[in-house]
Amino acid sequence: MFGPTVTTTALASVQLMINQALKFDPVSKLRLQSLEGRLVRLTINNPAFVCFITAIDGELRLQSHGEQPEAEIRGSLSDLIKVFIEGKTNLADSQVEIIGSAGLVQQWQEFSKDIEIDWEEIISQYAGDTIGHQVAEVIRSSHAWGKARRENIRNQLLEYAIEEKQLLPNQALFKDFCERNQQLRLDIDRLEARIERLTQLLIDDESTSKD
Amino acid sequence: MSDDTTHFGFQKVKTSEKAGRVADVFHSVAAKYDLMNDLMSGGIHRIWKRYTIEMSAARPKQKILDIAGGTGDLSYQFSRIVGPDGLVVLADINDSMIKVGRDRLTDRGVAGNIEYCQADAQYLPFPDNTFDCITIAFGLRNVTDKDMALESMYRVLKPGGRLLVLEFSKPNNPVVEKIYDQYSFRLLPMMGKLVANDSESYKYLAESIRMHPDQETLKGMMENAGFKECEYHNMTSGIVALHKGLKI
Repeated sequence: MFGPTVTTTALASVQLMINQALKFDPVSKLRLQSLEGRLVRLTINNPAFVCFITAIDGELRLQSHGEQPEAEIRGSLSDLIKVFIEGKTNLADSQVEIIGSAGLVQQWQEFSKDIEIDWEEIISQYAGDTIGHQVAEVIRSSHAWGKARRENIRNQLLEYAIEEKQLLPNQALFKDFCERNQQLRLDIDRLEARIERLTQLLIDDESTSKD
Repeated sequence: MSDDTTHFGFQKVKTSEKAGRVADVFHSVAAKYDLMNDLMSGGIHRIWKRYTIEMSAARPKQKILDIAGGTGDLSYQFSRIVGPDGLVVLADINDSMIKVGRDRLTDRGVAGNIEYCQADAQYLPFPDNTFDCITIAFGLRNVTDKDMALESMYRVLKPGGRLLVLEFSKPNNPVVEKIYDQYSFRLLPMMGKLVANDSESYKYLAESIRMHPDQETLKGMMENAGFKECEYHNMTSGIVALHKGLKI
């Protein structure tokens, strides 16, 4: 869609931003060592865009051109964000497709999922240690408060739907139902096998009495 | 052009004199070469070089030859890619440029997998089939006999290896071409005068770009030298083109 200059400039800018951020997660450099020189093709269907991702000298590298990638991951932008940023592992209900080394894609997924940027260090560089610490504390407590509120709302909604409105089954009851269902399926399978065996015996008996 | 004369920008000079005159240009600009490149291209030369690195598909343990390596932009990246078991050779005909490149790379901590070589691209001092990849970025237009240089590169390239020629070329958009002409012949020498106190060298740079073969001609020259699957990628409306050829 775009010429090499535009695409390469865009990727170089994104790469620069990511690597700048990764400097504040010292462990990421070590984790990138295992991905050194291993190329993955990223094919975004919607909007259509192709790029390559690899690691060189402890830094992440985004390329517009690559040859003989070890793996390719295809999907829409939103699906790929779910895989790499939210760490989604079940691809059954998504349009994501992996070709080649799934292990390598999983390594990249684990890498992106485990990134922990030290925001306090970044803020401190610009605002000084005292202000940086205070701002980071506010961010951390707001984040923790937000997380707790989200969890609380989720639990309350779930309880309301299960206990008050009885729209959903209780988790324990549902688990028990699933186990019984599984047991019943196994019993039916056994019964089916027995019937099959008895039928075969009857056929054998009939054929011997005829002889 | 007769047998014993060649282009030096828009001038005709004796073939034997061109290398010396080009050397004078680069001795003059070496110290401020990087700064001028950034100013002249608005930093885009870094993007062109980055794309060249991507197209090289260089891998760890490979041997790379960076001809006209100058201040070492490509060599720096190659050295990181090929790692401690690979080798990068930065070759340049001009000792001033090599000195600047060597100092710069040493300051950036590049050592161990890099060697420096003062060499003429027409007579590369390496055994046959030595390198996995050869690059020449903004250097071919300064070579006296380009065909001879391409044949020399073909000789030292391993079978399966690739040559990448990054060079100014012919814009494929008439509007861009007009703006580019005005920029090259008016603004460029002025910038050269202001920053490097040398307008003549930058006038030569602009003229040598115009005298350089266009995309299709260079592709044909590469094919004549023996390269296969030759192709080129225009960048920034063809102001620069990256030619690729394989030795099969």
